[in-house]
Amino acid sequence: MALTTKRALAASLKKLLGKSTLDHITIKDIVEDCEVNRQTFYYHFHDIYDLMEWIFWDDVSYLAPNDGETVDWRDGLKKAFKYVLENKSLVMNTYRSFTREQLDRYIGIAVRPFVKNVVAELSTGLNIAEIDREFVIDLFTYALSGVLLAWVEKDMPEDYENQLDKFFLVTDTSIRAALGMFHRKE
Amino acid sequence: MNFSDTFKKAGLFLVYSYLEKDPENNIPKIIDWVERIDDTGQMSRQVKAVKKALKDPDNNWRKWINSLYTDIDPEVRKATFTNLVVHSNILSAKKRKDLSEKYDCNIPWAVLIDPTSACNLHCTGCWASEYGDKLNMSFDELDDIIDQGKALGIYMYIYTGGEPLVRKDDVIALCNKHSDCQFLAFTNGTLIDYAFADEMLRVKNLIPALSVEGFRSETDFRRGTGTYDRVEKAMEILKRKKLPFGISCCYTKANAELIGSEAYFDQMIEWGAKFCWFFTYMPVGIDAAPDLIATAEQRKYMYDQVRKFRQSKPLFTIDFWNDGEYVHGCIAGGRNYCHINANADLEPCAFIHYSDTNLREKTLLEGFQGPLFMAYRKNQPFNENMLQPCPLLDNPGRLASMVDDSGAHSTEAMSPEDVHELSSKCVNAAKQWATKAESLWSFGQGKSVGYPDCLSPCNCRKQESTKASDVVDMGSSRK
Repeated sequence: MALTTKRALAASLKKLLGKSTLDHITIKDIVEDCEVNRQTFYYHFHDIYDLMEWIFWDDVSYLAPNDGETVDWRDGLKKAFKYVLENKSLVMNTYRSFTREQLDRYIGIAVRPFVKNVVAELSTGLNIAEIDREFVIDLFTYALSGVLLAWVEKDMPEDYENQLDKFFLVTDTSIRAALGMFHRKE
Repeated sequence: MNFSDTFKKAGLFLVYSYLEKDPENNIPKIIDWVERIDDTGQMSRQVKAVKKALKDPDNNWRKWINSLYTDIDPEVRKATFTNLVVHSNILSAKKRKDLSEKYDCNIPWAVLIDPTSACNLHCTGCWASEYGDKLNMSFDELDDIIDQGKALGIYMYIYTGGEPLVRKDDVIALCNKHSDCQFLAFTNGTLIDYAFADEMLRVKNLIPALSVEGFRSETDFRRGTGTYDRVEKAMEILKRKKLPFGISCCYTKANAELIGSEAYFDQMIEWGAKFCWFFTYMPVGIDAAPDLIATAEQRKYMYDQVRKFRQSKPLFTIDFWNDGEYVHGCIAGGRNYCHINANADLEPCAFIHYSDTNLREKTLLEGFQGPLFMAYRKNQPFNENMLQPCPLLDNPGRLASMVDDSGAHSTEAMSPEDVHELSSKCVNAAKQWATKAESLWSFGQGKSVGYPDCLSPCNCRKQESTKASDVVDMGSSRK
């Protein structure tokens, strides 16, 4: 039941974010839209940012692959970009509500699982120290976050698949190459 | 929060994590540090006094602190530290002091609130029932009061009642919303189950004080058959979930010897309680029986027992009527705390059911500046002997004249009680206690026993004590 209530509150905030930015939305707006009282909101969330964060994690857990799950990251990322585009006004208002620093952090957390799984797949048979593998994951997470954020910044042009294909073209070989450089023969 | 506060807070958490790593060895080091960053001097006084004791591993307070590491969930411990130590004391003590000077009124450290007057038990002699059981404050009203309080630097909220957990969801929602505040709840414990304990673990800032007044037969006699088992079960759940809790005890003529016994102290520690708050029975309410008031002998016994066990038992205790010597007398009327009943009447004390301010019509600050609270401010302490702190039980004439002068009315919805009649019930007890209190005070007992000297910045110990005959001054108001 708690999850249903949280999702209902999340749906209301998403709906409101379709129309205005976070700083213009009050808890009162959310509970009125959701047809619950303020107590219900505060039972689950400290404040509006707490709800935003919950929405973020809920969406990430829906879109991103689980640890060790073999999902084609081309499909996964295209699905993620498509989701972002479908929720354009929500994302744009969220985008405008946060600082660049916050965005970097959250986008990084959201896209890292994709990179992590690809790196795990490509390191089979290689002998790489954990710390080096993490470095490679971080490096390509920065690249992917950058691509995603630049696309959002340009108001999400429809041809994102094109952009992503270029990204995959470069990264598929370069991730492999990077990992190869950290391979230790023993 | 200004820059220096942010810096202080960051520093405190650095120290906190250092403490977490090795409490045994790092406790003595951290104490030196806390002393250095406190700017009001209030904390330092407390800290200095316990410093020596904490350096001895066999000391009961050292054991008590160690038990906070073994028995309490780390996340809850951190939230308690943040809210109780950092927010409610270090960061806001100066704000309250400044605002108190600016508005020339008392700004308390803690606010007690009854979310409801309803209770699932019907105990003999409970003053809470005198309000009737139909009153409730809405979530929005409670929330608004806490918002007002925070603006005045108050970060400590204590739910009373009624049984506050009759309103479980509102209680949790308020804790969750005001995650920077520390909440306590006086509860009969019977509504604490595993699901509620999980919610407490989630919000992390609610500590219950369970009402227990002795062993099975005494508890069941007063609170109804089966209550003792339910309370023990609640304590078992809290202990298992590593949630901190305390006990609240009311001692009367009928049970004082039992409440003050070593067996009972040991039982409370065995249950897993970290603190116990003692209250002496107050004959509040028209039907309240004055013959249940603890005798002067019994009060002296509690005074001695509590002090004795403070030197040997790992249990933090406060005996409100007997501990005036550490806090410069009466703490009510907003000096350190106040009470808001379920009808939103602002009262000086949980036991003083008179008010001139309803918070549905006025703000909290207006109430603090109202005639009744200002009379408290002007008249405190009510006696030069800090062992006679109470304007009702120890100095009955004092409450009556404050109520008369301020025009405050009785807030007991069921049957309003005239303050003079109420006070007259306490005259005998006050007279008898005055003699005992005088010898205790002049003898200087309690000094440096268990707890440090008076924590207020005063020189009350150096003043002459008032003669017992001066204090019971019924009727002659101090106009």
